[in-house]
Amino acid sequence: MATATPAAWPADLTREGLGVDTDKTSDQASFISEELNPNGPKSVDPRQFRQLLPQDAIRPIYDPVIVGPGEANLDAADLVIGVSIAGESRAYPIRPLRFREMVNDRLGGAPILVTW
Amino acid sequence: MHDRRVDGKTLKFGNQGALFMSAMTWWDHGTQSIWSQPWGSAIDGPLSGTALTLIPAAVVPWATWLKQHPKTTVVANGLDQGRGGITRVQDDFVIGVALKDLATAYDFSLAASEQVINDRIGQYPVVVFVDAKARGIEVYLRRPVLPSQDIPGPSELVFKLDEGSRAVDVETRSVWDITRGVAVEGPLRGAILQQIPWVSSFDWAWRDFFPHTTFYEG
Repeated sequence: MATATPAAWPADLTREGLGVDTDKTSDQASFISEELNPNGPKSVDPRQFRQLLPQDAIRPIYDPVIVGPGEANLDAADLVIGVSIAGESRAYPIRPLRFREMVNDRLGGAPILVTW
Repeated sequence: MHDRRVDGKTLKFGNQGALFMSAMTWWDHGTQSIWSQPWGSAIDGPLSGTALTLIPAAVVPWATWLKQHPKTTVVANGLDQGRGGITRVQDDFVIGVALKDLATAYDFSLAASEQVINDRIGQYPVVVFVDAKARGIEVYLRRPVLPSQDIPGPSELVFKLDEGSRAVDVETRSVWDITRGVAVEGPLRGAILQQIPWVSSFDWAWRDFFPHTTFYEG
């Protein structure tokens, strides 16, 4: 394995060199390579499928209401699903997701699906 | 958490109201295909066999998320309903990682006790960081993306925590900000790590959907 020589690394090299804004929060979601995506199932057994409710009887959130961190009625210990894409971060509180289960949203220019 | 784009077209997803292998299913408004949540792929209909791209996401207490992401926004739908109910924090789950045809699961409690796990899933060197107190979980590929290709550097890293609980790589002793996956001090400053999506799952459900999975045993 090659070893980095500290002297070979200019001290001012930063993530900006890669087009990533270090001042913003995590940018990694835009850095996902499809190469790492899990492969889908090789076969599906239809006997494993059970329809229990009509479609959308558990109503997804199709029109998310976005607020700032100070306006969110959340306790410190409330669990959230957190995601960052292209420097934008968003939290999806678990409490309402137990009744709604799904959110169709957009973040950092990407259309995303949040499920619980 | 998935990207809703398939071949450049954005899909809108609803709740199918059905279970497949005891887990949630979705339908998409465009084609009425039926999708399996743990796989993130369509199991019936015109898009059958199509998989969505998985996006890394964290399940953490609000205080942890807000501290890491002070400019975060929040989806507020339904936040005023059901107050008083406790969303209980549970330890009884696995951190499931599926890469291509490979899968590994890390028992949360075991991973929390080890704090840093340098592992290998097939040809992929991975590292799992667990902060039990903040309930932070991060999974990365242990191959640094260096600021410049002209500069020689290690192609693979091994991580540990130093005395101050900071993540450092053994090869160069650079210090890493693990919530962002970026080296902030030392020879590798500016290098980044590619995040690997993971899901929290019950161990039995993970085994059902990824029957070829291995379980990390320490």
